[in-house]
Amino acid sequence: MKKTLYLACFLAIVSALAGGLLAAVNEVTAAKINANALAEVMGSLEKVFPGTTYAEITDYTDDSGLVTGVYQAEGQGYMFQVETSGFKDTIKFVLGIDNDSKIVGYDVIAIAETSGIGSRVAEDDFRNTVIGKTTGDKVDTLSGATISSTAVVKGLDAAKAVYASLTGNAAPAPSTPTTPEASKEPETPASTATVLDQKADGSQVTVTVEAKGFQGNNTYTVVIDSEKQEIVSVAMTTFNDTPGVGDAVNDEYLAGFAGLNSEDALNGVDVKSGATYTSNSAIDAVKAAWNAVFAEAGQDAADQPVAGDDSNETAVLKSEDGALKTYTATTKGFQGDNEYEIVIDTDKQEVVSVKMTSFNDTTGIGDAVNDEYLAGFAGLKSDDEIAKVDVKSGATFTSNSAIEAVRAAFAASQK
Amino acid sequence: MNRKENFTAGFIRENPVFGLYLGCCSTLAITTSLNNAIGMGVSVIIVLILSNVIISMMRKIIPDEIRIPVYIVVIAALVKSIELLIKAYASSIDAALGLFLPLIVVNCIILGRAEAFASKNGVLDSALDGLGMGLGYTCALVVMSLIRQVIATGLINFTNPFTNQLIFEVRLIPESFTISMFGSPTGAFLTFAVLAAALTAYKNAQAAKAAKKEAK
Repeated sequence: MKKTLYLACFLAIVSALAGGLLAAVNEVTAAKINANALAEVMGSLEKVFPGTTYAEITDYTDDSGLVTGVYQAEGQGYMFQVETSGFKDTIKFVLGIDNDSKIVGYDVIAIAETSGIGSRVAEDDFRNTVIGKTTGDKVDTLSGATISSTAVVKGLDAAKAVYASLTGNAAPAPSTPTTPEASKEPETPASTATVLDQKADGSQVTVTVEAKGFQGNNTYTVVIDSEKQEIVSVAMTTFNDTPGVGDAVNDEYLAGFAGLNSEDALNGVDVKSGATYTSNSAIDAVKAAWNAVFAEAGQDAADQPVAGDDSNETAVLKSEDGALKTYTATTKGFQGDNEYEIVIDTDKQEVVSVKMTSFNDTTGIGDAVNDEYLAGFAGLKSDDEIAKVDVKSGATFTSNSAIEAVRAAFAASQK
Repeated sequence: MNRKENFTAGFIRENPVFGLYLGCCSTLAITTSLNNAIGMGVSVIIVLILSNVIISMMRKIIPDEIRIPVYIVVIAALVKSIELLIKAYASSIDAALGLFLPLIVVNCIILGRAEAFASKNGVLDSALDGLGMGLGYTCALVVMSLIRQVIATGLINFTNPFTNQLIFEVRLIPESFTISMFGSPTGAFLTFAVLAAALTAYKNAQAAKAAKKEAK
């Protein structure tokens, strides 16, 4: 007992002495430590709102817990210190919003994310997407640095919320509407492919076609084997579209046309993502060449079945109601025949509606060709427009069967 | 062993990091730049010397049963004092070392030397042991940092921690040839493994030479 008491006392005394030492050191250093922290904040404030006086605001509501400090720059705006947890560690940044709800400052003061990836949130590229935006604008996250940039965006939103509660300024409507990328357009224009020249060398027919791409006309040389009824090769002889964008339509892409033996197959060729216009010019050129060769031989692709393709593309007139004609067409999809009912207005010369009456393809895949998809045919006024309808990704064969059925009906209505 | 051997033991023969494998955690974590290495190394030297001296002074009165708690209280007080001083006067080191500054308390080197040496030897011997081990630790840190910093960023630079002024900066490898993996824990382990193996090979070679000499 005595021993234990002695041990306890000894430890207590040593601890007390240690505590005393620490208190003394703290006395000496506390002021300097606070000054350092303040200087850091001041440094950030100066960067955002130079030359004004600051008042620290302690009375603010922050539900997210991300905003660690709020300072008001007299007459100019507010500065927020935000800490969010990024991919590896906490990201600390300051955000300055002026009295007009515009973001005027964004600086990352502490970051430990993966260099070259998460660290991009501290770089000028990202900074420039933040500064200048209003509190109502959306800041895009960085592709490839999702976690870090999402954390920063969350912090920005938290700061914006505190700003709104402090000033009462409602977030203005987004100043720049999101515009789609220049190379992705919502609808493709009607094709203007003209056959310039056609030379036959036995069964090999070489057709020179000019087709409009994105900004200019591209010329293609298409070699078709009229006996085997298939494309032998496609080459682009003149390129007048955007270098670096349209030239994704290169020899490798054009090689994808080789061996195709029907207009169906041509319709099924995918456009090259990001080079839609140029790809479509290639597809149109090949189709025009195809039509030039086989229309000559008396084959009209829309009406009669193209050799090598099993689909029965005849549309049968089911009923008539004045100008509205209803056709049924049966076309081959992926594994079976699908039946469609197509209503065409022969006065206005447009498709009124399309319904799939019999579905024999793969459930869960081919049924992506649903009423919503088929509604896309309504209002189309030409074979070209119908042929241009996008196939449903993942249900190409079934989509093509719908397209062919509508084309057949339309062609029949033209007679 | 005489004083000189004690002192030099800390550098190669009993290098705390690569020879005794003590203090690995902080070594792996902070050796990304020369500044970090020197900042941490100097902090550890100061703590080591002071803790060795204090414990050596108290060695006759500390009861054996509670010696470890007492050592830890002493070391913790010292480390916290150093941390406050660094926060006040050299805050860039504090920002760079982060959590590893207070973690010096549980750095095995300090407790290890207190137990193995300071509790059994005189004040001056303990102080010299602290200095030797601390310098050995710092050397290990500096070598690892130089390797990692050069491979990961291509630069060697040093900033005065008290004034935040850049003292020198040298680029040794062009930026496109750097392997940034060496700035991450993966690179730390790789560098550590190679250096530890190198030191062991050197020690084995020395031992073989000494054995040969004796055999003669």
